[in-house]
Amino acid sequence: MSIEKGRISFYSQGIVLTMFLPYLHRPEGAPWIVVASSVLLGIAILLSILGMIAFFGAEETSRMMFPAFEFAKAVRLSVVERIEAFVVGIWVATTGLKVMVIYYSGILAFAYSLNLQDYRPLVLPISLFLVVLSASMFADTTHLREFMAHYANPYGSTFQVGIPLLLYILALFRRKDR
Amino acid sequence: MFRKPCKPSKLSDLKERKLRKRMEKVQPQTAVLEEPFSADIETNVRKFQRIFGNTGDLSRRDFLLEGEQGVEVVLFYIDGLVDKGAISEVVLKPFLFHNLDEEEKRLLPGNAYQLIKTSLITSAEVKEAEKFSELVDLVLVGHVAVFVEGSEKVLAVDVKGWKDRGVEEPESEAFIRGPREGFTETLRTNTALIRRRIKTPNLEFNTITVGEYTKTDVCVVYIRGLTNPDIVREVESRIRRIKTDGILESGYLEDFIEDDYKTPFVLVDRTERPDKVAAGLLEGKVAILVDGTPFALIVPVVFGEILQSAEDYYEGNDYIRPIRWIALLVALFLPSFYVALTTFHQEMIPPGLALSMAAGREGVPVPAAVEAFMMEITFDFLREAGIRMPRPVGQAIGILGAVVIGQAAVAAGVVSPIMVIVVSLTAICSFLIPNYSASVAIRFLRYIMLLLGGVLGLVGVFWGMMMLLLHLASLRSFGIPYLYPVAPMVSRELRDIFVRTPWWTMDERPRLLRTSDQRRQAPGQRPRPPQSGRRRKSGEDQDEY
Repeated sequence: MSIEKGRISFYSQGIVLTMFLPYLHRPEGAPWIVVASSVLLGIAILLSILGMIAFFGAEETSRMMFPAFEFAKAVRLSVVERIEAFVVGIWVATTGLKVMVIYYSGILAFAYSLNLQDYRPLVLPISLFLVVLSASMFADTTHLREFMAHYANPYGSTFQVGIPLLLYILALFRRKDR
Repeated sequence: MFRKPCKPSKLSDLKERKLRKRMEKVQPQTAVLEEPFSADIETNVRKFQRIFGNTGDLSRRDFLLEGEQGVEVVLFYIDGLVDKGAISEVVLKPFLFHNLDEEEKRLLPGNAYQLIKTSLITSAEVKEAEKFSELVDLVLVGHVAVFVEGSEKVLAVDVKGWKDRGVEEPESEAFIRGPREGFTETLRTNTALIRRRIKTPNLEFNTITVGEYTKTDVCVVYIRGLTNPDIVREVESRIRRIKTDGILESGYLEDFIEDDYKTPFVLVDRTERPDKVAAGLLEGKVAILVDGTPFALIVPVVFGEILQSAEDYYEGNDYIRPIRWIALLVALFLPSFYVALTTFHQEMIPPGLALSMAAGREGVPVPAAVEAFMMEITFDFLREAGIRMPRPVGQAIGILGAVVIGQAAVAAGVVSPIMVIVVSLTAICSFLIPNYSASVAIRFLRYIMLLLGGVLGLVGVFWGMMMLLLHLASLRSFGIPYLYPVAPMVSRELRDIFVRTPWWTMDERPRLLRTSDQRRQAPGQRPRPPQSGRRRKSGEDQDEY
């Protein structure tokens, strides 16, 4: 399950959403929603992984690059079969949404740290970086597999767990000072 | 003597000056409108006539009121806007046949105006004008002007009466069950139709006049003490902001007061049915009636409401709502889905079906996306032609269309049979959407989806879906989120979105409308079988409320 090893870094991406906490209408309800949605998400993923293992077996599943994709390939209904295109469609659409959210939060953070009044002038220039990065990130699937197996976790946890945690601890100390 | 040298004027300047001079001659004299009346009847009448120019439908009637030296009276009215029978009944008859007693005769020369106002005119509605502009406005809406010698005021008597279509069944929203009355072109009739349904003094019709030339009466309708005053104020301020030549239909108004114009969706609901307006008012919405059109506007509107028909509440077919939602999805996505499947994801179609589809498409000279586009356009042509044609011809177009797209096109091998099924299914589904403007919006979006599906396959379709959702979530109608109550989720109000639950479950008005009185009815009115062994006291239920 080489690809699944990178899961931790996927999960910790949720930290990005804390960027939007100040914009919420009722921020006091946010922690519960975060907890509830992660639990639900975990259950959903657990179910799908259970399904895959039940269908393909643990050995086979662990060798697969995208087990969910292979899983959808095996679907056969009377009018439609091999609905993996469906799955990819949903993946692309949701990934699009994810890119939007992360991109927006990144720009917001950038504007914060530069003390800008408005984030909008940053949208276009930073999108250029985004395009270049997206094209040069992984050369091929082997590269992706390698990255996911060995680097995704330390890389992801540095930025998604380490730095936020550091900031949190700093904030705790600063509050004590006050 | 030399003339002082001056800069020669440019030709364009000369032309402009000439034009302005000519325009001045034909400009209406607005200054005289603000003048008060003088005591001299001749001057008043002359000025009044000059305001109207030489229009043919301004009628004049002069007569003398008996007395020691006869008081001159002049009547003016617009022919066609007034009921002539009413004029002779309430104005002429009393003037000509009333026998003045000695006391009145003695008073007459000095107090003719007062006498006429208090004891001669037998109309219920008499107004006084002190300026020409006031009088002109009244005469133009069907009053008769009564100029009296020696008075600085002019009477305007309401004798409105014109050809009215009468209350008929609304054609654009026909029901199996439900009231058959529809609005007409006359504002007064329409307000009465609403008033007859909501019999409370709190129902208010706030009239605003819009349009420099048309002077259209626009009525903002709401229930005082129920509707959120902020919404009423917002609606009124948006209408007051309008400065334009004319409002001929509520569609003009719609464009001016919408929150966002860069969207195909309707942000203002419109209806021909007084019962629908009444239902909206009782929910805490604001209705806008426009004189001269049977279409009333209702604001604010949310997305779920475009799939609601007033008949849902009359006829208990609760399962129709989910069917409409399915129809919405089919109307929006079926062609693009089909195109994506046949162009990019053939592996998703089972072999047997794929083979028969391929056989059907064998002779088709164009890609599936183009084929679908062609058929959709043809359908839209036919539909539009069917609407614009006179009715008997419209039916012929329908038959022609059925033969052309259904039969001949397939036989000629221009389109595949499955495409005909797809397009006709889509067309039928788009007719299931009760709101006409919304179904037009869905039809328009279908082309975009088709393009995405034809270029990017299912990925494109899902992308379009995503974008559509984002767009819908960003819309507001008078401050109410368009996807409410789904997107700011209010679970108790979902009872009226995907299904319609019985009336006794919907105890509260939509929460986001922030009505002053949230409760619609007493809770717990679910009908139950009578309990055995215990007789209910008659007053019990009311105590609960």
